[in-house]
This record gives sequence, C-alpha cells and structure tokens, in this order.
Amino acid sequence: MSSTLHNDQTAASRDPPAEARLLASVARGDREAFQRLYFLFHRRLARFLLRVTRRPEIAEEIINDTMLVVWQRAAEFRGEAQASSWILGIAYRRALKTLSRKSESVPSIPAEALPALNAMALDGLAQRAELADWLDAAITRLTPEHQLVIQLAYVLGLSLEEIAEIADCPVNTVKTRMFHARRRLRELLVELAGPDYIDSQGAVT
Amino acid sequence: MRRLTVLPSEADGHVEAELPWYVNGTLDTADRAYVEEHLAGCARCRASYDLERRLAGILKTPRDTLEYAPQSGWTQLAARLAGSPLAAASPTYEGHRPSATIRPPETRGRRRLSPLIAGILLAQAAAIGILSFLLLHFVTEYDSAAFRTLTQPGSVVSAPEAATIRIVFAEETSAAQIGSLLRDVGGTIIAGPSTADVYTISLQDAASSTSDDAAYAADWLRAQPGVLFAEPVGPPPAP
Repeated sequence: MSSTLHNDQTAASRDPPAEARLLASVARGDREAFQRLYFLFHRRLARFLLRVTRRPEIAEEIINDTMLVVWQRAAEFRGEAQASSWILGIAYRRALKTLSRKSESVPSIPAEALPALNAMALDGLAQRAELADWLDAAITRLTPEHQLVIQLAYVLGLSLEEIAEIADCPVNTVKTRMFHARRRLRELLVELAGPDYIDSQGAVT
Repeated sequence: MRRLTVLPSEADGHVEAELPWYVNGTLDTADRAYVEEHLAGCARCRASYDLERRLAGILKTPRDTLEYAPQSGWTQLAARLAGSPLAAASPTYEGHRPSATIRPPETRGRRRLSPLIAGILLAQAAAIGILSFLLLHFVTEYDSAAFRTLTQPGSVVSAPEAATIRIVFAEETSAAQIGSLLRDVGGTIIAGPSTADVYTISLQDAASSTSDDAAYAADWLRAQPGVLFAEPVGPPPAP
C-alpha cells in the first residue's frame, strides 16, 4: 500500500521546544517574543479558523482574541501539553462558541434508511468532480464538535492525542466524535449526490 | 500499538476508525503497518481510504489569502494591546493572575484609537525606525561584524542555510514597505545590498527554521508588490 498523505508544511515546520521557549518569554512580558509567536501561529490558526468560520474577518477576530488570551495567560501554561495544543485549545473553544451560535439542527437520516456504502459506492463518491462543493455544503451541517474534529485532523494534520489535548477530552471521545462525524459526512455527501446515487452504485455490503 | 487481539470480523471496524490518522500520517509505525496490511486485502476499506484521502486533500487546500497576511492582524492586535492597561506591564508575575476577561473592566468605555489611526501611527513609527537604521548602517562608517555588505572583506555571514533568502526589492519600494515585508515573514537583513541590489535576509529563530519555512516565506514575498525576486538560498558567498 502506498504511503499516506504527508502532513503539510505547517506540521513539518513545528518545533515544540522552540514554541515552549517563546511562550515562556511571553509569560515574562517579552513583547518581541509575543510578536514572533503571533507570526509563528498565525498561519496555522488562519488555516483552521478559515475552514471553520468560512469568513476571513471572523477568523481574524478569533485569531486575535486567541492570541490576546495567550498574552494575558501565558504564565498559566505549565508544560503539561505542547504549547501548540494549549494555544490551539484556546482557539478551539472560541471556534466552538462561534459555531454553536450559528449551528442549525439538521436531522440525521435514520440508519435503516441509508444502507452502508459498499466499495463501489465509496469509490464512486471519491471520483465525483462535485465532491469539493458537496463537502463545503456538508461540513457546515455537522455539529460544531464534529466539524472541529474533522478540521483539526485533516486541515492541521494533528494526531489523536493532540486533538484530545486541544479539545480537553479523552482520546476515546475524539475517536467517537470522528467516527460519527465521518459517518454523518458520508450521509450528507450521498444526500447531496442525489436520491438515485445508491441505486446506481449498487447494493449494501 | 499492535492490535494482536483483534478478531478478523472486527478488523474492518478497527481499521475504519484509524483511517483519519492513517490518512494524516500521525499513526505510529506499528498501527500504520497494521492498517496497510488490512488495506492490501480489503476492497471496501481501500475504497473508504481513497474517499478519506480525497476529502482530506480538499480540506487541506488553502481557502483564503488570510493565511499569508499576518501583518494586518498583528497591527490590529498591537493596537488593542496599546489601548489596554495590561500592555505596559508584564502579563503576569508569580502569584499574579490577570483577569479572565479579554478586555479588563477598567478599559470599557475608555476612548480607544481606531485600528486605522493606530495602524497609521505604527507604520510611521516603523518608517522612522527603518530610516534611522539605514542612516546608521549605510551612511556612516559603522562596521559591524553582524552586518556587512557583500563587497566588504569578511562579509560571509553565518546563518543556517535553511533560513536565508535572497531578495531584490523594486526601486519604488519604500523603507517602510521593506520593514513591513520583513516583519511579515519574521526576517532580518543580514547582508546587502550588493551591486545588483540583492539583500540577504535571515528568518527569525533561524536555528529552528527549516527549508520549508524559507520556501514558504520566499513564495509569499514573491507575491507581494515591491518584491522583484526572492529565493531561499544558503549563506552569501565570500567576496
């Protein structure tokens, strides 16, 4: 089996010890260190928050709110987790509030009404040119927690353990959320593909 | 951690649950091997993996240029800090905990600089700083081991190869604009200009910067008005 997708440059460029040192300097009131930390994290936060909020001005506002909290509370970071997890955790909670304010309740399709997708159906979805548009529409219909776990894993390339730290929940909770998020996402993609999609692709596994 | 106790009938479910972290490359070696072994023999899981990979690829695609424009955000944040009584003091001392609210109560109702005016004032201060720097280092006889032109003896400046970029600015690019660009990428001029107007910049925190950081910064610089040329390279050659 071919190798997996590589993490993007953001993950490859991370240096947890350097980030922790910068944060320690910020805790001592070092404005220059704070500016460096801001520029270091801006791209990561922007990438995550743009996907979540879909509005650059809101993403920028959350970035600055997050980094302001970092400036004010840097001394509270005790090093139990990575500095990036701590900072992303602040952004995560802020994003969760933003999403929760605007989330709509979309009823799930009952499990028995939507058969499990077989290999042909899955492959068919993956090949569709409209997939990007469907994904855009489907993501917003997930619950805030489901949206965020998808974004943290796929947009930021974070591990299960890192996401658990950021979301401040057990690893198994992240796994469960991801399981339900992906299942719900596939339901929505099939729904967007149209009522004839399953029939055209074949039967249940 | 190898799942040695997984029954064949449970394998699909276990692998399905691991796919997001297999796709994003964060599984450990043993788990990755387990997933790959299963995928080699399971068409349904392979199809599921292909779909996840496609979805991940779509999600990773940058949506907006905001990712590449930290300076405006920093200008706004700096203005907020300047308007807050917490800005002047260290954010914390041992035993002192700042207010949990982002905006301390004593700042509410206080007149604050608009972001636009604050940004203009900051840009003016930056321009004064840059002009002073240029006067000190280009007009006077100042000779610093940390800053030499390429044509001066001993002008090889030690910097990690991964963290340097050669850059040429357009003639009409002002000192303030150069300063703004450098702050955006976290760069410092370490050499130049040469007779061909080439500067060499080093990324901040050069010891931990990677070639990816330099490549990303160079890509961004090239897209900016006022930059004619930007390439990540090694240390400047000795004269």
